[in-house]
Amino acid sequence: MLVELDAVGYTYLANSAVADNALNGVSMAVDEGEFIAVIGATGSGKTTLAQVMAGLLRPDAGRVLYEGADIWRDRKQLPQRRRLAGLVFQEPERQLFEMTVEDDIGFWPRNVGVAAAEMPGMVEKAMTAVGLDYEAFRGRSPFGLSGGEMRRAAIAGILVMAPPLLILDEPTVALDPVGRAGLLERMKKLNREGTAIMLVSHDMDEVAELADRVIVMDKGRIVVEGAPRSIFSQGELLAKLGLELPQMARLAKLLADKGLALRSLPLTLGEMEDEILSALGESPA
Amino acid sequence: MNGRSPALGQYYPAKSPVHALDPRVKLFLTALVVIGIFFVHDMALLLAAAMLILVLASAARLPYRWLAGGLRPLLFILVFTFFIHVFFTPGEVLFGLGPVTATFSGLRNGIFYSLRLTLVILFSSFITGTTTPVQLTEAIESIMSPLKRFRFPAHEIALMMTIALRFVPTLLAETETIIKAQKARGADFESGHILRRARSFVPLLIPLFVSAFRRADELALAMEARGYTGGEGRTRMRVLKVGTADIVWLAAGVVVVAALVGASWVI
Repeated sequence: MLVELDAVGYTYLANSAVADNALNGVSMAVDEGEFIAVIGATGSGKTTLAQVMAGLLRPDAGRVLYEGADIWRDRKQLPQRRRLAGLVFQEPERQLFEMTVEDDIGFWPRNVGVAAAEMPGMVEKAMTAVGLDYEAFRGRSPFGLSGGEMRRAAIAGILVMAPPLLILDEPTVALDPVGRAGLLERMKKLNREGTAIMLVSHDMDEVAELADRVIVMDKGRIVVEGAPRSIFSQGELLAKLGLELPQMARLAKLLADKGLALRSLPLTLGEMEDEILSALGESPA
Repeated sequence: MNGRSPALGQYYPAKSPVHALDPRVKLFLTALVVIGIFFVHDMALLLAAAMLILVLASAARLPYRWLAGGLRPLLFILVFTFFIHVFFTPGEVLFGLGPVTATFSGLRNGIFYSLRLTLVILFSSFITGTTTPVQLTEAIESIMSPLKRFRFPAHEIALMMTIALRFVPTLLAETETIIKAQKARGADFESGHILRRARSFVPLLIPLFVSAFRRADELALAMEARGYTGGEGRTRMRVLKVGTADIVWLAAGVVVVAALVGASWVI
């Protein structure tokens, strides 16, 4: 078990009139190499969950365990332990500050005292993982990059830690379709290479395509979790929580209403194609 | 960021006759009282002014604890003022402490001047506690508006204040996020000697500046897109109007301050 939350609770502005229960008795775990997605309406506690998971917010109830160890027990160890779960914030390009892309990505290695000789290799690896050419971008100012490039540079600033768990909070918000597809493709590749990923997202198509497991949140609690196909076949529950279905699931429902019943719920365009062909009695090409 | 509640300059929402007063009347009276306090040289009169703030606070439904909380950020200055006077006023010696001596008149002065400063702070918290920032800037604009004839940019200054106040919570939230984001990258804002600590703020300050300028740019563009052209010919949804209650308060306030200052002349 890589990271585990045990009955975690978090309240914003505790002891005040506007106290807001952002997390309430949340227990969950992430295994090595998993790809999980967290969905929920705005204000359901997704972002708080991501920050608690990354060891940045101290929960006021429950425990956060990294490889079985309670991370808030021993505060001295905390900065080192945070390496285990790297969190990419919403709009992470806001955290860029250095003169060059290379120095910005090198912020973490410098902070933890990595030897200067190892630095370029680490930075290059992180940049390659997000598709930024090392030689072309290392000397450029992060503030002179395009929006998509800035985002990728910021993500590289987390990937340089080589975290076994990468937490992404709405990573594709405000990216153009090409940038979005490219970023998701790279995250998929990272996952195949062994990094566990926790994706917090509003985009059900993203979630349907990528996740092995989906966690649905509402009002600071986990309502249900399971494989995407089982989660997205509970359309009524999701609608009640203010969530939509992925496009293909909606299309399948329209087809069923028109009398074309599919055998199982398709989540991607490819699956939809196969399902329609087999429903029409033709073998998939 | 636990326990963030400096009451200094903060608005305390409540329904009270004081909250309902015209902000210009409150601003004028506060200025009058604060100036009046500086004319008071007698301890008894200063205590009378202290009673006044307590009465006013209950009239405005401000909890005393909340009001006292406003002193916290300035506590150091108050204590400093007190001790400076205790040890650096000549007179009959109370006790010696190394090279310096405390005197009786020093003790009296120390109490007097720190109480005076306390009252000035409390009266300031009183007006900001009972008047929203927007009302305050409206009052300032209205008071300064006669100067517009001399090309004084009263409206622009008031607008700048409103915008600045509006973005304080936004920037605070942004600061918190960036602190967390840099902590996720191993930043350390707490340990190390002073120079190292100062340097550790660079990764926080640069993103904050960048975002503040970006926001300013966007706001300017949005205002222009909606046809904002400045104060000329602009009307208001809520027009400030001096009512009967305002006149009564104004008169009472002037009388009280006059009595305070007058008594201090006579004594």
